[in-house]
Amino acid sequence: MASEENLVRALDLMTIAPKGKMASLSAGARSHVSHMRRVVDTNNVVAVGISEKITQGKRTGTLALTFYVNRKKPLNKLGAHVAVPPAVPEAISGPEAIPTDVVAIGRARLEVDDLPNPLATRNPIQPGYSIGHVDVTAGTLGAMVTRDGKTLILSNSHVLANSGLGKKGDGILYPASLDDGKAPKDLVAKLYDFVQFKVGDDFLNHVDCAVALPIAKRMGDLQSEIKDLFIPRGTIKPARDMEIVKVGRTTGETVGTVKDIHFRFITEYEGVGKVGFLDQVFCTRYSNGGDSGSLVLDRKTKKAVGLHFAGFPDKKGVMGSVFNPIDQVLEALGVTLVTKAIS
Amino acid sequence: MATEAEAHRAREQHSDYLKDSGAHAIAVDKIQRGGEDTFGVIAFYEKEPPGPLPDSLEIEQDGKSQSVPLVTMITPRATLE
Repeated sequence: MASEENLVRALDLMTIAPKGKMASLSAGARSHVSHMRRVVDTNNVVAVGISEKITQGKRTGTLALTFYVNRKKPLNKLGAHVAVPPAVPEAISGPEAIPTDVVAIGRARLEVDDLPNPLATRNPIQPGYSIGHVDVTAGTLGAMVTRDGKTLILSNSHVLANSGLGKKGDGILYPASLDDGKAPKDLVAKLYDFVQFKVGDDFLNHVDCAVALPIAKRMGDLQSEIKDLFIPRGTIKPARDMEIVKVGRTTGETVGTVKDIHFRFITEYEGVGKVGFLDQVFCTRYSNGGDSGSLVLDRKTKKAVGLHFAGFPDKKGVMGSVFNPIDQVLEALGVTLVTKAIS
Repeated sequence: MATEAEAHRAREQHSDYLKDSGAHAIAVDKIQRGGEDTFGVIAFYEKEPPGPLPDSLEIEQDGKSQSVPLVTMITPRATLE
């Protein structure tokens, strides 16, 4: 078997070796190297490396010069000038020939920009990822909705409207500021509308929701499919014992079970005061801070059932997550849930 | 023993009373009372309620009185997420 040193030397010759190093090779070797470089430069080859040769799905124990390709193509469809030879000849590799291997891996792509949170991205603009008003740390983009022919971004008021302290037209960051979203480059939308809270110690509120209008140049980046899930198939009313799923900026895809569909509680909104809710949906714990705004879906029907916004995280007390019924959210904002791909 | 609908009704009728006693959240769920499964009202408090609370809530239904079990739990308020 060729030594690792000779394998690396052959790899260098085919990829990064300067012309001066080529000049020291024999005419035959230079011809081989030129051919191999042409192969490496073809559009279908996405990377070259050294790895154990696999034959018919089995490891051979022999190191090979490996050509990683977008797709494997039959030899009869490849021109001879771009076909990967079965081995690197001794003229290049040293005392013994080096076997080659071809592995299909598709095209490499950047996963999540330079962002520290894998549940944050800049493109596409998609439900499940980090979003927030410029003065808010981070929440989750819940869904795409429409009103008067406009496609809008749905999340909580405390995510998009700074709990009602924001003004229509305020900037929306995607990803949110906690996830390194910065103005002006990450301003993707403007606050369009929200439902004001009735503040006080009474159970009076039904929703914590707002919508933002994407800026014109980002309209083409909108997606209605929830990250790692599907496009919601409509809406459904919550029911006790319903199994639900959501994708949030902090905890990603999680599941829970509905426990109570008329839950009442009072919580504190910073800078606003106490806000009491009624007819909320209390579930087993499925969320954490930053998941607010996630669309909650019925696992069975794949229909939207709610908009997540609060929770009881205390491990020594009550553990649970709470969402607004989606029909109340859509009605309060006068919007319709997008249930098809956005073209 | 109370049904889920009776527990919902008890919560609706007694929310103000429970809130005024310091409850910050009121749930309905299955509980056990006297060794039997039943639905009940669960009131969440940040600290012990200032005075004694009944162990059941009375509702009027079809001219008859019905008791729905009440339990309390000490737990912090909900937080926005």
